[in-house]
Amino acid sequence: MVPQARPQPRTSPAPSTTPAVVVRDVSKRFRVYHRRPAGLKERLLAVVLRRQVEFYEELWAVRGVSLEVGAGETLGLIGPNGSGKSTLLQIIAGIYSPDRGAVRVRGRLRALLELGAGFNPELSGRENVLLNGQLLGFRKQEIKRRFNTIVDFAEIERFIDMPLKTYSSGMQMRLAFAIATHLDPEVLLLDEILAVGDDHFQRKCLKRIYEIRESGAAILFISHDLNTVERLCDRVGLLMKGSLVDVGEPADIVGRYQALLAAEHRPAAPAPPSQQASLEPDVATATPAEPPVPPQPPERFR
Amino acid sequence: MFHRLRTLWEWRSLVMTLVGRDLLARYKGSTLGVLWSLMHPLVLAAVYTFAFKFVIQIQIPNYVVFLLAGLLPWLFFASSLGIATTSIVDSGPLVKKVAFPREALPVASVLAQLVHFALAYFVALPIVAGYYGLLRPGYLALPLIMALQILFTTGFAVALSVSQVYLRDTRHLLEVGLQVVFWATPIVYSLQNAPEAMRRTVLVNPLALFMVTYQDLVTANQLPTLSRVSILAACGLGSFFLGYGLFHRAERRIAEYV
Repeated sequence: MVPQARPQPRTSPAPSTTPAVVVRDVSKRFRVYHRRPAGLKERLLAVVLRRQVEFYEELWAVRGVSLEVGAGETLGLIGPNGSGKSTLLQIIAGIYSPDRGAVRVRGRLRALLELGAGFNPELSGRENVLLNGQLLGFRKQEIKRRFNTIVDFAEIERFIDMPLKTYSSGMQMRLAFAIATHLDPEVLLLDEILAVGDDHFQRKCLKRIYEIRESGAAILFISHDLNTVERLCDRVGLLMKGSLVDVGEPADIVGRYQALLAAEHRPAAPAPPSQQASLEPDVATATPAEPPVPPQPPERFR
Repeated sequence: MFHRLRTLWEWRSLVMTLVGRDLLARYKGSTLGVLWSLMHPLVLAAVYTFAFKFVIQIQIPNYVVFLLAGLLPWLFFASSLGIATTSIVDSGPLVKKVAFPREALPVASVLAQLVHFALAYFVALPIVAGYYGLLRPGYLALPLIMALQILFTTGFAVALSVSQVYLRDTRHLLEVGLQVVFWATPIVYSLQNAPEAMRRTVLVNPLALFMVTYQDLVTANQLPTLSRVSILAACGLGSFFLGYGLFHRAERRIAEYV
């Protein structure tokens, strides 16, 4: 079971008045290419022919988002695909740099944005725990000290020395979750990580998240599972087309989002114009020719 | 700049693990494992010796030793760049989803190649010792020249790795470029064999300077002059800081383009 005995070393816990995460007026622009980015040939041609060869549109994936998350608080982020939730977490994690605005994070940040992003299929589970922990910024000794706890939590003792490619996706997910959540996060970013795993493990994950919250960490949590969001989060933010349209009580925001989804999926009945309009962010009107947004804009760049 | 270097130093444990990953994962599943990386330089050395000593009959005493003196450092340089160039692009999911100093990837590629290079040196040592004996004072200067070559190589490695993100032609340009540079550098032939005009211009190529220094050290037991060492130091440090500076300027949008 979850080891309660493990000490929770927290260096100078932040007073609850100073937020652990401050996002101030952050915007992020992507270039969405209709083809792949121009190679050398195209660029040379562009110089020779003196014409534009890079056919791309600018897409503001995140527009003017401001939010704060206090220590010990869990903020849920909901919204349809392509609303900018994942991009926002990637900006907070420091993977993307914002084109406008600023992000400040106090304390050790652990991000679990994709299952096993740092995993190497050829290496064993043991080697991957070490590699993954170090990608999260830990020293070897610190990971070794927590190694047994991580493996116990993931329930994969028997397989720990087998190559990761022999693991099921559920096993990989359990290991990834165990690593990220057992390395003393003070700020934890979770992007849709409870989607895999059976009931038993999902409950275990939720319990672990509660423990982390109790330890005073700030948690940002993306999920399409609105029940979990409502149960787990202290506050919920609703993102639409890159803008944070509302933040508040989980039940209120989830209810509003559900009403919106219902309105969208009711084909014949015209949605009440006032409600529809209120959900359109102001910034969106500035760029009316919005292309259908893929869930992860940058993936188009391949 | 120095701030960046300190950050990388703080992440050194990750860099070492990435080196280990590179070494482990490359040969997992193959029977001969790391022996493959020894096979490559030795087979090349045998082939060039056959072609240049026995077919072309080049006039260089103890050709094998002369060849190894330049060929091993060259292979370190060339294979480091080859692997480092795609190191960031090949780790796309990682770069998109995990925040860590990205230069750890090309730097780890270079260090992993350094391990192969060191292994090859161990194999080459008995061959060299068979001709010249095991202990010669000139060998003491080898670590210094190598350290400078590592800096020289790392500068190119980090710059090319970020260039590949934005310009996918980089690795192909590199492949062609390395072919040209290999034959323009005195490795399989000596500078004395080269025509007069080339002998004067070849020193524009810092790699040629490195190779000549290695060859003088190993075959003639001749220590480099102070001015030679300072030029090499300038090349090594210059490449390192320029490459690193370029990387720093271009890294902001890596995660978007990778």
